[in-house]
Amino acid sequence: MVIQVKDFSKSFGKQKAVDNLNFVVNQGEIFGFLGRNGAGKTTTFRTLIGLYQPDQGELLIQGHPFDDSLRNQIGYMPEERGLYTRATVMDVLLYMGRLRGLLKSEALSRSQKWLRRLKLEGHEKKSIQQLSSGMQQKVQIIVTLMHEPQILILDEPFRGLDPVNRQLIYDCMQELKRDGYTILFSSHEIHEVEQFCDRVILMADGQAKAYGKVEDIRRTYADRFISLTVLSGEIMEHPGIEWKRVHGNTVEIRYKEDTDPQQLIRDLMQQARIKRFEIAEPSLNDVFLQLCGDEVVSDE
Amino acid sequence: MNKILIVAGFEFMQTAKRWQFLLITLGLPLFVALIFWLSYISQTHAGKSLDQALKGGSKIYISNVPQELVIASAPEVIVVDSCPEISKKVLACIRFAADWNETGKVDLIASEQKALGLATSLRKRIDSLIREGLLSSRLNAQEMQRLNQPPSIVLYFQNEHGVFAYDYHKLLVPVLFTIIFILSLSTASTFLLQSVSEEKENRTMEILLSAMRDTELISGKVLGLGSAAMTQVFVWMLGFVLIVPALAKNMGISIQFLQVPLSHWILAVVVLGMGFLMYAAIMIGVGALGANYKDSQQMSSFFLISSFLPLYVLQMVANDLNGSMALILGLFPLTSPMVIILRFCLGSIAMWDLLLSLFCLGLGMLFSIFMAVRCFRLGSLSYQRRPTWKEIRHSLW
Repeated sequence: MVIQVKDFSKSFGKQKAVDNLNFVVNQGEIFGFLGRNGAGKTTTFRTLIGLYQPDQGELLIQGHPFDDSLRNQIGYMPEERGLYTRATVMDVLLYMGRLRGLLKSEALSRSQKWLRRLKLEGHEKKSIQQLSSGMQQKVQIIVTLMHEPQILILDEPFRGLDPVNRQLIYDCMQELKRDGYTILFSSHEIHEVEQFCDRVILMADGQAKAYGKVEDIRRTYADRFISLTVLSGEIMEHPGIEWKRVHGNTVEIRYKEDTDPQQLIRDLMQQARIKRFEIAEPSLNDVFLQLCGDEVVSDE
Repeated sequence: MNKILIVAGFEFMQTAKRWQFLLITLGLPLFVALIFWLSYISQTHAGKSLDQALKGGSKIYISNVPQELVIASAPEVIVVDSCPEISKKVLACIRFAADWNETGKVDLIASEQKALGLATSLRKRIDSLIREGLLSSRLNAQEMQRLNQPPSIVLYFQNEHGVFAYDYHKLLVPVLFTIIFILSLSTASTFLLQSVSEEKENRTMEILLSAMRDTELISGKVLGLGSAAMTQVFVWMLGFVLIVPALAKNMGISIQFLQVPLSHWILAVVVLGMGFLMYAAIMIGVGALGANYKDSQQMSSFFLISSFLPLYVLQMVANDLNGSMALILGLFPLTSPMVIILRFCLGSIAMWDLLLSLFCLGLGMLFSIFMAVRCFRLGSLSYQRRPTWKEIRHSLW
């Protein structure tokens, strides 16, 4: 394993940011951190790279707590990102590359390579403030990747990107994965995590609510889940329903443990004309809502 | 060390490449030189135009001369009963008031264009005319010449070994030190506050801190931005070094930099380094704690005022170099740099006194660096907000 977090807790004053967190990230996998703002994702990342000290527990990278020898092996992209706005693109890249241990000539050639790859050629001499926000994001990504770290820790890497640049970065991540890079990234957008990650951890209020492969998590929470297609009428509140979600004429329902699903379907058929029903596997979003959201969720 | 130098180089270049930096660095000496030149030109021009006018046949008329005054005869001066009309030949008319004896009032009448200039250029001449006029019957020519020239004071001091000529070179290091210290502090503090606040505001800080230790980042900033400030001050001082001997010569003092005792220069460099580091550390800590640049600037004003404070009481300190004011300000780290230099160069400060002052300054410097690192760790990642006192207290101890 490349990253191992054991019994990690961190508080700021009375506010518990992370509470007894445990997970591992294996070599060459894309690992997703899913949670709302304030779930403890950034605190975990900052502690992993030594910006914070843990109150309790251990955070190991390649078997060791973070130290100076690991700095150049990690590429970190913070959630709160930015660059020297008045400096030129090339000045920033050379500076950051050299801080990551590259010689000036290496930093120059790698900057040029990445600028070509991310379609930023010809913008080297422009100041950062002259670039669009999408271009600035790409420069930020080059800063993270140019020293070719083995471990990437990316806090909300897709935030602020348009669909084209999002796809570009996604392709880039897949390529890096194929090259054996280990990628740990956070997001509060479920479809990103579901799409890209081998394994995920779902965080809420500083605690891990679910952890493992996406399919395993979905399977774990697949029980007591019914999907209905309604022809007419409306599915009303029912004492047997734990939560429901309505999109169009599809209604997803998780029923309570002591509820008889046969009886529930019979009751619901009294309320509305149901075209079809099935015992469905929930999406990661459903699982997230179930674990971290309100009891009954409707996005009508 | 390598990363410190990389940060220092980047910070230096980013600052030095700004057009504002170049403008102030090169523009200020030129601006000061321009003011000196204009002032010199206007003075000599006024004198020259008076001489030219008199050579061209214009005259100065004097009227209503009191009985007790004897105006010495001169080709350009004509004594009359009443002032004639101002013309090309009548440059100006000096008219004594009826109550001149009581009030000393003298009217100067000239054309509207020349009145202001003549008021300046004729002042000395009128002064001499009156003095000579009053005393001509009682003084000989040499006494009259003495009367019209200011005394040349030569300063001596006396101690238990005898009387010695005062060495003005003793003033050189304190004066230079005060100027360099104040200038470097004001420029470097702006650079440091700006740099830390900007990195907080534009969110670069977190990336930098993932690549290096906070102490490396702070050291690099102090080194790079300190060098930028010192470069600026060095350029200004070059101008100063050229001007000072000329100014001193005008005042009848001969200044030669090589005559300044070596110990003065050495102590000045040591104290400048310690004082600069102390204030630089404070500025970094304050910059990291402020929510933004404006906020940091407000917080830093207390410390900047402290550094300038000795300027207001410098005369008092100089008058009593071993008095309680000098002793207290010399021991308090925020005010000690200027006071230590002044006391050492001008007086005979006891060795224990000097060492104690340096020790306190060193302690202040180390404490500032310690606090700055702690504040930096706390504040640098607190975006758009100033940490609470509770958080600061918690992080410090």
